[in-house]
Amino acid sequence: MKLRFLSIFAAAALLAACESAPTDTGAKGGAGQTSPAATSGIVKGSKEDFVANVGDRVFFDFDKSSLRADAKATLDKQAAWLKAYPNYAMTVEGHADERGTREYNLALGEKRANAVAEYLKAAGVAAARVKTVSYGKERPVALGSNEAAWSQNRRGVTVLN
Amino acid sequence: MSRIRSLAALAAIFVLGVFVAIPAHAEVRIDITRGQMKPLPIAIPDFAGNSPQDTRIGADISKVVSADLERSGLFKPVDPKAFIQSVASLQVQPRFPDWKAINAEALVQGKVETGADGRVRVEFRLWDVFNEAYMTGWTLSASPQDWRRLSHKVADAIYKRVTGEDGYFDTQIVYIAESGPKNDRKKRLSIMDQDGENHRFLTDGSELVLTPRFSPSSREITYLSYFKGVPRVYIFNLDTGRREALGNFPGMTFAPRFSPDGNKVIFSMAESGNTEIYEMNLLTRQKKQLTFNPAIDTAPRCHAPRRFGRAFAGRRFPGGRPHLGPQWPGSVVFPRVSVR
Repeated sequence: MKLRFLSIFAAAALLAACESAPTDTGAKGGAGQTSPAATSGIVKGSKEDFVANVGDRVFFDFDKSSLRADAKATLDKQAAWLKAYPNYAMTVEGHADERGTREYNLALGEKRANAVAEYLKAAGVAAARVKTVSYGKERPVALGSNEAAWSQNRRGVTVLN
Repeated sequence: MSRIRSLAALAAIFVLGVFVAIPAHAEVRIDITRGQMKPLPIAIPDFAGNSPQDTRIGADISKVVSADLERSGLFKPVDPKAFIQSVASLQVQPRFPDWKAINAEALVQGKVETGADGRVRVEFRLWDVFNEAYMTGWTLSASPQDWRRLSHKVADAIYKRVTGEDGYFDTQIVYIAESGPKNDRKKRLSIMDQDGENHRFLTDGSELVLTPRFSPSSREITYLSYFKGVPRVYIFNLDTGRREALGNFPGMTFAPRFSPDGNKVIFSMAESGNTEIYEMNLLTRQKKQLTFNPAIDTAPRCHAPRRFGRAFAGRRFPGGRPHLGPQWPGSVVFPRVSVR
């Protein structure tokens, strides 16, 4: 009981942290829609700028690795930003929700990371800057076992190095 | 018919799952109307020893053997407080009436001796108390720190003789120990004996590790590690403690399994959004691509019994059912091979 309480507390603390300073570990919803309040105090061209004002992640439909229209819109913004700030290299992480085997989801995550990377390259980001990695279902950001959580976890995240 | 023999017969019936019709000319007719799963009462006195160390190991062995057999649910060790014959006199000869009197149907007699080379020699015999007959036994020697393995081997031998099935007590379990919250999980490659003893972490949790599998010899483990952030198949040698990456591949390698002879590892490699199954010969270091398909081919159920061929989880057809690779035409029943 005490343990569960502690973990709830930890989750709450984590969420609170995300609210005040969005990072790439944050579970903030949406495909990185800019909120005016979040822009203040962020240096243009910084990693924080990329996460808060461009959106570092795109989401996928269940068991799919094809890019949705909203994902393509986010990736167009990402590509424009990345071309403006060519000093960053990046690792595109592919993630899956918790359904299915670990191994299948590793393959699915790789397909998703690859879809994002290929789109960025086609949009003009130099191929040498883009690496991919799949975490399968091992690194969820949302903890529930429902569609709300799963839809957050089926994602491709562009992490600047 | 002694209880021991009937228990074996019963186990056989459960294994077959069928009732075999007795031929018409048989003299004895047995009607089995229901299963009887009453555990067999077995007496497991301390194994005898001549030195304090041997005596201590002997007592420890009998405790581990008792615990193994009791956990199987098929045996009920008799409380040692009820024993009439002493450990010392048992070494001379079992006094069967003494064991019948306390309703033990089987009796284990054992001895521990440390040799001049420092190795312990363990000897045991299993007796059928009601028929006053020897059932099985052996002598094995090992380093003193391996006394637990010797105990499990004693339990395996008893289990096999009584039930007719191989024992599973001398077994290790390799697994991923997970700790921490779901969104910040620490995962460590870990190993323990079947009874939870001798637990060890093999990796320190600084990197993500997944899907460990034993080699047929159980001396090697193949698994997926994100060492330095790159997901790769590794092989961990339990004897040397060394680990090595399996080859150098352009894409992520994962989902490894050993072949039954231990000479090959089958795994998946994902590259540019496509996953295929490969095989690597550990002796020649040659790799071979086994599937050629623009779909997810992974989770090889490596080397199932011959008639099943090799199969894997795939998305080649709707529903993600396991399918046989193109090289192995034929039908596949879900080929989940259980290896004891």
